[in-house]
Amino acid sequence: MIREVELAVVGAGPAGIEAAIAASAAGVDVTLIDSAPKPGGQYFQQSPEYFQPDDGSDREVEAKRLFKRLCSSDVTFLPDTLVWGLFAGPKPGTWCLTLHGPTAPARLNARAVILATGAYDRSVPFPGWDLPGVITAGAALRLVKNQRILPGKHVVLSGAGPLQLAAAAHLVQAGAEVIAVCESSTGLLWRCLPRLPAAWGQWSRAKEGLGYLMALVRGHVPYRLGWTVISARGEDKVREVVIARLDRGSPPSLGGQITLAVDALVVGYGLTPGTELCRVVDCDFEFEAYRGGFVPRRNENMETSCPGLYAAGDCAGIGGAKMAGAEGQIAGCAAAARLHRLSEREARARMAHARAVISREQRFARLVGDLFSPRPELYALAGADTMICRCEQVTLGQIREAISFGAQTVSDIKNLTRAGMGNCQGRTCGTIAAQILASETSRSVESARYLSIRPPIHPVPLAVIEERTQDLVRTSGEVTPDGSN
Amino acid sequence: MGPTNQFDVVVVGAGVIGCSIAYHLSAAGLKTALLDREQVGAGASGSNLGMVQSNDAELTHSLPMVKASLSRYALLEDELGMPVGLRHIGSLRLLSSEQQWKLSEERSRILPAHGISYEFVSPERIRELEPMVDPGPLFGATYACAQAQLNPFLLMWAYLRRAQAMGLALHTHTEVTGFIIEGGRMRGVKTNLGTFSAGMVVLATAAWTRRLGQMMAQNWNIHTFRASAMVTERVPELKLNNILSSADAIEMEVTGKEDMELTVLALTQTGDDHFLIAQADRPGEVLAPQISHAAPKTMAMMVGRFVPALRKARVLRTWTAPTTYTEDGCPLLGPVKVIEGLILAASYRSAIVHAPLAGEIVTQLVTTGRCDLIDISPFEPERTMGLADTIYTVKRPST
Repeated sequence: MIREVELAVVGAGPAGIEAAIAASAAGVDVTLIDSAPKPGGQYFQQSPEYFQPDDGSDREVEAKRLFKRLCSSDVTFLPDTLVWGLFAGPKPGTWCLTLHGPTAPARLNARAVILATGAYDRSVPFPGWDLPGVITAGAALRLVKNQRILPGKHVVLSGAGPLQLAAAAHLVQAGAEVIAVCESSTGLLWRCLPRLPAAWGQWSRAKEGLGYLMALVRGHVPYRLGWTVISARGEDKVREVVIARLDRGSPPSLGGQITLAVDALVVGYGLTPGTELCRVVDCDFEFEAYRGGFVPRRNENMETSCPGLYAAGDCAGIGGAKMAGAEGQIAGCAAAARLHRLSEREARARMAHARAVISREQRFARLVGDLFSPRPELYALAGADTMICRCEQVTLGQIREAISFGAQTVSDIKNLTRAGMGNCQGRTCGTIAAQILASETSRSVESARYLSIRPPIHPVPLAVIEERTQDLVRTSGEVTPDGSN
Repeated sequence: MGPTNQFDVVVVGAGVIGCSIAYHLSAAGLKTALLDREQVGAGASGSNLGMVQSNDAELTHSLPMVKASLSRYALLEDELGMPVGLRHIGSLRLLSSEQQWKLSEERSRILPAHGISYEFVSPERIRELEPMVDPGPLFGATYACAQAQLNPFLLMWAYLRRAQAMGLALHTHTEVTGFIIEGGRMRGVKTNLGTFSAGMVVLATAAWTRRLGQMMAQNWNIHTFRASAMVTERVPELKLNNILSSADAIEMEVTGKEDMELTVLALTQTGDDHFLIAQADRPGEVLAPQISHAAPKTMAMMVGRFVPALRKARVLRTWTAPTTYTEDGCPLLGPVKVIEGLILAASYRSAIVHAPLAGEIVTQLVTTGRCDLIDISPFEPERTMGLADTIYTVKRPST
C-alpha cells in the first residue's frame, strides 16, 4: 500500500512533535512516524499507563503540555513503525519512505521530509564491555523509567556527562545500590568557570541536575571525578569491575585501581547523533566534535543539502531537548513555506522565537560538549582481543591489522574486517574505529571519515521488502500487563 | 604540490583492475600513484558477488585472456601472502524457455572446447543440484560446475598491501579534474588535491572512463547500467550450493501497473552463510551511489519467486553501483593512439577474473611498449569511437 502525504516527520521526540505541530498549524498534511507505541521519544518517554508514571516533575508537566498540543492538532501519528528506507521518490523532487509497522503503509510518498530521529548512547570499548549486564546510560534510564525494571541490584556507572547523573539518580530512587559513579572528565570547575555566561539562564537544567546530585548525596553514592571503569569481568555476565583514576599521558597512567563486585555496569560517554537516514541519501556532512562528530550540513532553515529534506534536533547534532524543539519549529515552518502553505515572511515571523532559543542553547551545548567529550586516553583501555564490532565479532587486533595494511578510513577498515557490516551497520563501532584509526596513525578523527549507511537502516525480513508481510509468522503483538498476548 | 607528486605512472581507479595494475607496476620498480575519487573498491569492484567468472566470457576474442588470467589464481594467495577467500563454486543459470536455451547453445559448444565446463541440465537435475530451488516453471538451466568466488575487498587490499610495501602511493578521495597533455604526450593529471605528474597514465575507471575521455575529446563508447545488491543475515540452516542466476529479464510490478521494472537476478551464499542477492537494474549513465526505491523490492520479489524459504531472512543492507558493457563485450585495453602515454584498462566483462592478467599486460605495455602475453589488438579503445551512441534497453519478453 502506498500513501501520499505532503510532509512526513520521522521521530516523535521534542523535535519531531514541534515540527509536526508547526507544519500542521500552517495547514500542511503531516504524518508523524515513530517506532515506539506512543510519542515522546527518549526525552519525554511515556510509560505504559498501568505504571501510573505521573511523578509530577517539571519534565512530566512539560511533556503533558506537548502531547496535548499534538493531540489537538491535525497531525496523523503512525506508531510502532520503523522507517527502514529513504529514497528519491518516483516523482522528481519527492521522497519515498519505506515503512514496517502494524498499521503503516509499505510506502509513504512525501513532498518534504523532516528527520528528527534523535541520538543514541556513545560507548567506549574496554575489556569486558561486551559482557551481558553492561548497558548504556540511555538503556538504563529506559529500563528504570519506562519499564520499571532494575538492570541490577549492585550497579557501577562510568562515563562522561550529565546523562549518567540522571541514570544514577533514577537507579538510586528505584532501589538499586549504586556503588560508584565514575566521571572521566576532569577539571570541570575551572574549565566551566570562564564560560559561566554560557550556562546563564539554564535554571531548569540546573534544578534538574541539582535534584539528581541531591539524590546521590542522600543515597551516599561516591561521585569520582577523573575516574573510569577500565575492565569488566565475569564468565556468563558481569560480576566485577575495575575502576581507576585516569591520568593524562600516552599510554595513560591508571591510579588507585579498585575492584568492585557488581551485577550491572552502566556506561555512557555522551551521545552520538542518529544520522542514519541522512547518510542513506548521502547528504553533505560536516565535522563538529562538540555536537557529536559528523553531522548533516544544514542551512538556517534546518534544510540539508538535499532539497526538501530537513533534519532537526539531536539527529543533526547534540543540543538537548530545548534546542531540538526550537529546531523542529523552524523546520516545520520552513517545510510549510516550501509547500506554499506559509509565505516566506510569515514563516520568518513564526521562527523568530525559536531562533532566540537556539542561539542561547547553542552556547550551552558547546559548553557541555567541550566539557564531557570522551578523553582520547579512554580509547587506549581496550586490548588486542577486545571486541570492537560486536555484530561481526571484530577485535581491536584485527582493526590494527587492517590499519597496518594501509586502511585510511573507517570504510577501508569495514571492507577489510567486516567491522560495521553487521546488524547495526556500524552505529557503535564506526566512531570507535575512527578514534582507533586516528590514534594509530596520528591523524585527526575527522580524516577517518564515517561509514555510509544503506537501507534497510535496521534489518528487516526479505518479505517486508517484498511487501508481502502476510507470509511472515506473527512474532510480536500487543502485550497486556499480565504478559499474555 | 611539490616534486613528491612526480611519478613514473599514475593509475586512476582503485578497483580490482587498478589495484592489480598498481601492484604489478610497483613490483616492476616503477614509482606509481593510484588515485580514486572515492575509496578502494567504491565502484562495481566493491559491489559485486565476488565471482571469478569464466562461463560468462565473450567468446570471439576474450577466451585466451580469460584462461591466462584464471590460471594466475592458482598461486595468487601465495604470491600476495594473504587469503582472499577464494573457493570453488558452481554456476547455475536458470532458463525459463527453450528459446533461452537456444541463446546459450553456442556457448555450450565453445566453452567446453576451451576446457571450461558448461552444460545444459534438466529441471530434475536442478532439483538434485539445488534442493532449495523450485524448478517447477523452469525449462532447465545451464550449469558451469567449476567457477570460483572470492572476497573482492580482500583481493584489492592484498594487492595494495604488497604494492604499498614496494612504494605505491595510494591517494583516495582524490578526483581527477583534468589531464595535462603537451604536444600529444601525457604529462600528468590534475585533481582536487593538486597535480600528479607522470609520463604514463592508466585509466582503470570502468563507468567513469567515458567522462574522463570526454575531458580529452575521446568519445569511448562505454555503456552504463546500474547493478544493485543486498545481503542477508547469516542463514546457516539454508544451503545454496551454486551461484544462481536467471537468464532472462523478468517484469516486476513495483508500486502499480504503471510502474514496472525488468530485472535479472543473481543469488549466492557466501562461505560464512550470508546470502548475496544482485540484479541488473536501471539503464543509462547512473553514477549516483543511492539505490532506487524499486530495486530492493524487485530483488526481494525475484528471490521469493525462486527460493521462497529465504523470505524470512533479514536483510542487512542494500547497495548499488554503476557497471559497464561494450557493444562487442570486449574491454578497452591498450594504448590510446592519439595520446602518447595513455593506457586504458576499462569496461571488462567480469572484472575479477581479468584482474591478475590486466596488471601484467599494462605493466608490460608501460615498460616495453608492447604486449606479448595475449593478442590485445581486438581490444583497442578506438574501435568503440566509431560505434553509434546506443542507449541500453532491456528487451521486454514477448508475450
